[in-house]
Amino acid sequence: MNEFNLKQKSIEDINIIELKGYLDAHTAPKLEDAISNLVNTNQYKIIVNFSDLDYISSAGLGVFMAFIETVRNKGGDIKFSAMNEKIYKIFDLIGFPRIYEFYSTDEEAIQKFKSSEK
Amino acid sequence: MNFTVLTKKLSKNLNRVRNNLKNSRIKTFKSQTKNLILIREFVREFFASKRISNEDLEKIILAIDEACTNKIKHAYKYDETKDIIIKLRLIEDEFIAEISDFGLPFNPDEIPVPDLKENYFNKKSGGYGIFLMRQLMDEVKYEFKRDGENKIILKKKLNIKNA
Repeated sequence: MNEFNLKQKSIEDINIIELKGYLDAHTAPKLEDAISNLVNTNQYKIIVNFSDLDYISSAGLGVFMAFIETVRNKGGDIKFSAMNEKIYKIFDLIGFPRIYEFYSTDEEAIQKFKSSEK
Repeated sequence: MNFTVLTKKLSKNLNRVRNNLKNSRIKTFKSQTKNLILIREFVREFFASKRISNEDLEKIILAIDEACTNKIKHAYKYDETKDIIIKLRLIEDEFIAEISDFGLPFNPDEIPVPDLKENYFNKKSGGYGIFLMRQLMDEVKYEFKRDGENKIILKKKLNIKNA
């Protein structure tokens, strides 16, 4: 069974969170802590990479809703990258594409952050 | 009734019982979020020998996860000693999951359809589970029994390819 794993890296002032495995009510608090730590240290440019995420439930989706307003108010954003079709369909059911930006790669999301600085 | 007819009838009944057993599973899990992964495996195993589409399987797994998550959070308020009973049945092409708890009754009809704009400003992280279940399944029903059993019934017609 594939558990949940979360890795973080930063490129300049942009933070990338890479998700792996299963994001459910048991593992969502780990993601919540990670985003919370970034927000508490005034790091508001966040990219979440979904390429290795196999599963998401509403507990995982909810984490993004808890922070998006705060992050955008501070001039940042939470952008999604490399999401597979299966996971995207769940985001789509809830209507997330109306709120969040989705990119094929981290690089595209980084470029978007950089171009909006100008 | 002669012996041959009786034997045939018995054998037919036996087959029906066998099929019912094969198409019905029941299991009790403790009300703990760490068990969600086991619950999803339980559902996956139930369908292992049944030819349903991967898309339907993923929808069912997510709907059952959402139902159990709701019970852990709302019915049992994270009391890890309590039980969640999951009964899975396949009757011809209809899948039925009955998920029971004995905690606080929880009326899902009082939960509004999530309003993303409102939730955005209120930083609301919950309230999507019931909406998702309704999107993923054909029918979501609730039963509250006098003995304290709260049951959620999920139904979905499946496109089963013959084995």
